[in-house]
Amino acid sequence: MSPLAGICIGSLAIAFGFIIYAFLRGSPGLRSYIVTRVLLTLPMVFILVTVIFVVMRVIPGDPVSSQLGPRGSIEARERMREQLGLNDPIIVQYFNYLGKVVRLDLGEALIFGHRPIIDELSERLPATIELTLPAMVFAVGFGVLSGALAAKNRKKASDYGLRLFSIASYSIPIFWLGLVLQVIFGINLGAFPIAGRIDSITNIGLERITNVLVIDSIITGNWAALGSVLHHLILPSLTLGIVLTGVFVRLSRINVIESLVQDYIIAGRARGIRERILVYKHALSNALIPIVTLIGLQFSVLLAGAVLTETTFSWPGMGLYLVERIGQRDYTAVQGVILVFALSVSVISLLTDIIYAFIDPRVRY
Amino acid sequence: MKRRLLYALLGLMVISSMALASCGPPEPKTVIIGATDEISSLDYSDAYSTHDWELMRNCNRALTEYTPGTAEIVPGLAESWDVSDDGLTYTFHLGSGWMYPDGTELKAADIANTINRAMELEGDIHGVVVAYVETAVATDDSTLVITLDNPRGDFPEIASMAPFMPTPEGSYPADELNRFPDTLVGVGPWQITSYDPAEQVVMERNPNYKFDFDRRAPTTVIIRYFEDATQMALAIENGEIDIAWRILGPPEVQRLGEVDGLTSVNTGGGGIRYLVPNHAMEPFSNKNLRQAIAYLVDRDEIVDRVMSGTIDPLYSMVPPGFLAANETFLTMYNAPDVAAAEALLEAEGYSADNPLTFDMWYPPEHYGTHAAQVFQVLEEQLEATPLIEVTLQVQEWGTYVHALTDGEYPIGYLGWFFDYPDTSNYLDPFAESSASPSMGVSYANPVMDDYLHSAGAETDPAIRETLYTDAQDLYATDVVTIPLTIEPEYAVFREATVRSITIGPALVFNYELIEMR
Repeated sequence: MSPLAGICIGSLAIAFGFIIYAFLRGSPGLRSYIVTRVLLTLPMVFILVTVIFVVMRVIPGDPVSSQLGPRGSIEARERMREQLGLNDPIIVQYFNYLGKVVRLDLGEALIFGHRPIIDELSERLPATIELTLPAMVFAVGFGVLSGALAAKNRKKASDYGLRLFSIASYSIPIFWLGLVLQVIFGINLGAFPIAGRIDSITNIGLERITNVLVIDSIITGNWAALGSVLHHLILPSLTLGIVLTGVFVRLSRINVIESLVQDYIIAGRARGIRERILVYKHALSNALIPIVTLIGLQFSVLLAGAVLTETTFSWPGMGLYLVERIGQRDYTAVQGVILVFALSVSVISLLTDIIYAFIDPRVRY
Repeated sequence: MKRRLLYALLGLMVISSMALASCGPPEPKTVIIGATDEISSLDYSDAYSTHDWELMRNCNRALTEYTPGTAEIVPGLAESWDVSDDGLTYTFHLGSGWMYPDGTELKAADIANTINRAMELEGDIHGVVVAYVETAVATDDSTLVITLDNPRGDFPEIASMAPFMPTPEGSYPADELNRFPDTLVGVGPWQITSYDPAEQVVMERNPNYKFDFDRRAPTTVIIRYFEDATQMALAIENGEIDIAWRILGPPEVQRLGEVDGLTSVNTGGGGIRYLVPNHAMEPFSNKNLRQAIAYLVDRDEIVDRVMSGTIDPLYSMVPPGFLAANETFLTMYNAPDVAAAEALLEAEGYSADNPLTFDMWYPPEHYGTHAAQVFQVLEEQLEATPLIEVTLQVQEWGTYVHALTDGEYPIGYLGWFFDYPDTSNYLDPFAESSASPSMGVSYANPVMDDYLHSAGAETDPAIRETLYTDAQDLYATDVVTIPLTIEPEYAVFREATVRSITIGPALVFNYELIEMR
C-alpha cells in the first residue's frame, strides 16, 4: 500500500467513523443534514472536476509543446499527442477521465516520465500535511491566546499591538514574509535552513514509511532525522501560520470581549475569581465555538497558502507540484491535485459542521 | 513577567535551533550539488534533457565523450572506429576493462541494445536516433557496427549522446520504457543508489570503475533540487549545499559573486538567445524587413545595460569555438545602423506616417527575469527610427512556446543549447527546410539545404568549414533568425568544502573530478 493510500484510508476511516457516530447519535435533523451534505458533495466534486477539465483544455498551450519546447519536430509532437490521447475528441477524453476517476484511477502524468498521478501525490501529499498541520496548530493556538490577551487588555498597548499584528499578518503576501524570514533567520543569523524538508545527508539514512518525515523518523527511531526535519519545518510552517493567525486573533478577541460582559463572568468576578481564570478558562471556552467553524473555513485558505509557502521554501508538496504542472499544462496532474484538494475541503467542512452541532447544544439542523 | 516569558521563549528558540543545527554535519567526502532541473527519464533509450544526460554521463560512458573541461569530442568506450568509403557504416572498436557495479563486463551488445530500444520504443529521443541510425549490430563483444541512413561527418559527435551508452540486456524491459528504474547503473564512475525526483538523487562510486578516483574526489554525491535559482542561491549562501549548479541566472551570479567564501566558475558554455522572425507570416516574410531589424539590434548595448557584461554578444548562431564560427552579423550589418534600416523600410513603403507596426513576443521568466529588460532595450533600439512601432507582448511559457512553434507570432524570442557539440546542431534546426517550421521559423532555401546537407555528410574538416562558412553568410543575408546573446552558465562553490570543479563549455560536469577540501 502506498503512503498516500495509507494516509487517505486512515483519514477517511476516522472521518467516516466520526460521521457514522454522529449519524447514529445525532438528532433526526442532524442525520438528515449529514445525508444531504454527503449527497451534495458528489455533484459538487463532479462539477469541479468538469470545470477543471474544461478550463485546462481551453487555455492555450499543451503538455507536448511545454515538454518538447522548440526541439521536437512536428512529427515527434504529433506522435506524442497521439500517444497521450490528446488527439481524441474532447468528449472522449472527458469520459475516459471520468471513467478512471470513478475507478479511483487518477491517470498518469502527461510529462516528466509519465508516472502514475497516485504515485506522485503519494510523495507530495504527506509533505503538504507535514507543513500545514503545524501551521494550523500555530495559527489557532497563537491566534486564540493572543486574541484573549487582547480582549483582556482591551484598549491598552498590547491590545492595539495585537490588532495591528492581526491586520498586518493577513495583509502580508506569504512569499514576501517567507523571503524576509529566510534572509533574517537563514542567511543573516544562520539559525535555520531555508529550503527543503530535511538535511540532504540525513535524508539518505531515513527510511520512508508514511512520507510524513516527522512520523517516519519517530517510527524508525532516527532522532537525528527528527531534529533535522523539525529544524527545516520551523520557518515554512511559521510563515504559513503567521499569515493565518490574524483572523483567529480578531475573532477570538471579539468573542472573548462579548463573553466578558456576560452575567456569569460578572458573577465570577464578584466572587473574587482571578481575572486570568475568568478570561482564559471561562470566557475563552465559550468563545471557541465560532472558532471551530472558522478552522473549517480556513482550511481552504490553508491549502492556498501552502501553494505559495511551498514555492518559496522549495517544499516538495502538493502546492509546489500544482504550480509546476499548471505551467507545463499537465492536465491529469492538475486535475488530480484539485480533486484531492476539493475532497479534503468537503470532508473537513462537513466534519466541522458536525462537530459544531455536538459542542453547541443550541445548534439545530 | 511578560518580558521574562518573552526572553525565556527567545532563549529556548535559540538553544533549540543551535541544538538542531548540530544534528547533521556534512560528511567530509560528501558533496551536495544544487539544481533547479527535474528528472524526466532515467531510461537511456528515452531521455532527452540536459539534466538527465548529466546524470547518465556520470553513471555511464558513451561511444565518444568530451575531454573534461572542453567541448572536444574524443574516444570514449570506443577506442577507435572505421568509416566505410560511402560514409554509411561506422565500426566502433570498444576498449577493455569497462565494468558495471556488479562486476559484469561491458559488451558491444549492451550499446546495440540501447540504440535498438530507442529506435523501437517511441520515447522522447526516438526521433533523434532514427534520423541518423538505420541499424546497430554487435558483431562480437568488442565490435559495434552502426549503419546510417545518410552519411554524417559529425556522427562521432552524435555518438556522445545517451542513446549511445550501454545498458545490459535485462536491465530495462525490451518492449517498454522504464523511465524511473530503482537505480541507474552503467560503466561510469558513479551509480544512482536512491532518488526521489522531487527532492534529491544520491550517487555512490562504482566499485568496478575502470580508473582510480583521486584521493580528493567525493565518495558520495547528492543532487538536491530547488524550485528556482533564487532558492538555490540562498541555500549556498546558507551553507546547505556545496555547489550551486544549473541553472543560476545572471542576477544570482552577480549577487553570489560578492559573497565571501564563494567562488564562481564560468563554464565558457551556455545557451544562446535569438529572435525568431516568422518567415511564413507578414511582415517578416519580407527579407528586407528582417534585414532592417538586423541593422537596428545593438547587442553590445543589451549586454552592457542589462547584465553589466555578464553575458556576451552573439553575431552568428554558431558560438565562438565551434567549427567555422564567425561574426557574420557584425560584419554584414554592423548594428546599429539606423540609416541603413530606414533605407530598407522606405523601400518597402514605410514612413513616419505609415510605420511598420508589429508585436514582439517573449516569455517573462523561462529565460530569466532579465528577459523583460532585454526587450525594453530592444524596443528602444527598434524605435530609434520613427519608421517602426513595436508592441511588446508577454506570454507565460506554456502558452508561448505552443503559439510560437505553431507560427502564431510574427517575431519571438527563444534559447538554444546544443544536443551534440557540432556546428550542424546550431544551423540545421533553424535553417534546414524540413526542420525549420518546428522552430517557428519556417525558412526554406534550396541553396541553404544544399550547404547543410553537404556539410553534414562531409568528413573532411576543411571542406566542412568552407560549407558552414558559406551557410552562415547566407544565413545572415536571409536573416533566418537574429542571434542576440550567449549566456555563459556559471557554477558557484563553497570554498570551505570544495577546492575545485571542472565543467567545460559542453556543460558536462564530471563529479569524480570535484576536489574536496
